[in-house]
Amino acid sequence: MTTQINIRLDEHLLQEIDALSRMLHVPRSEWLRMKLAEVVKDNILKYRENLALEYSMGHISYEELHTLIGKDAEDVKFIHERTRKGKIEIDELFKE
Amino acid sequence: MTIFAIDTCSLIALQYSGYFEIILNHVDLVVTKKIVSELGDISAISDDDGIAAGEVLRLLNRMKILETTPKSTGEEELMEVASQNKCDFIVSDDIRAIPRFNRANSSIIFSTHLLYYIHRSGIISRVEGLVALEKMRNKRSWKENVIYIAGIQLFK
Repeated sequence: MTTQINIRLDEHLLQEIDALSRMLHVPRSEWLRMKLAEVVKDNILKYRENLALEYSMGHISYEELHTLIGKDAEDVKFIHERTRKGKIEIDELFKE
Repeated sequence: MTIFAIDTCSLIALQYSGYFEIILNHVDLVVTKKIVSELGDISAISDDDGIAAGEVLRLLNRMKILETTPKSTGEEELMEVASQNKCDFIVSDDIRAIPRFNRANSSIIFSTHLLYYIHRSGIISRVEGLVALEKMRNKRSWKENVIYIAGIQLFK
């Protein structure tokens, strides 16, 4: 499924995009889709630790995390839950 | 007395924290012969992990080495330690191994919980705990780093 979005671009940037896509013999919209996907993937890889931190702090939901990092979200959730469980167990030692 | 059986990667992580020696002053840590041998193998390589493993080995006389049936991994030997009720907690940062440890009787915790333990004992402050987590985080792969990120909630 695809969704159409409208964005406004600087005229000079658009000229550069057109020149590049003509040189590569790729339609402008296809080239933009490909580049956008690359940047999104790169950023997810670059910021996955930060995403785990945001999840840990309760700023993003498990569903959002899963959308961004896929199956690795299960490990992040597991680590988060085990950390919480372990804290309770250590706290118990100090009640005695 | 609470006994913590600890695996190789957790020992190295705690060495990175800068509080391993202090933890040894307040916590009873036990290891197995295979874990000592794994540390020896890692220390033979002169990278950050190798240096940390060497430092842990230098402090080996402060830990108890338990006798087990010789196994091919430290993880398997820790399983035996736990199944014979020779420890109260297994400390492991190996998230792949944890489901297997679940079969044992002991509770499973991360190395970050030992930092929390000394924090609860009044040995380190909340800020010192958070700084230690940051040191552990800087030295490991991203998924291991999640353990140290999640550890922030221990000091909230």
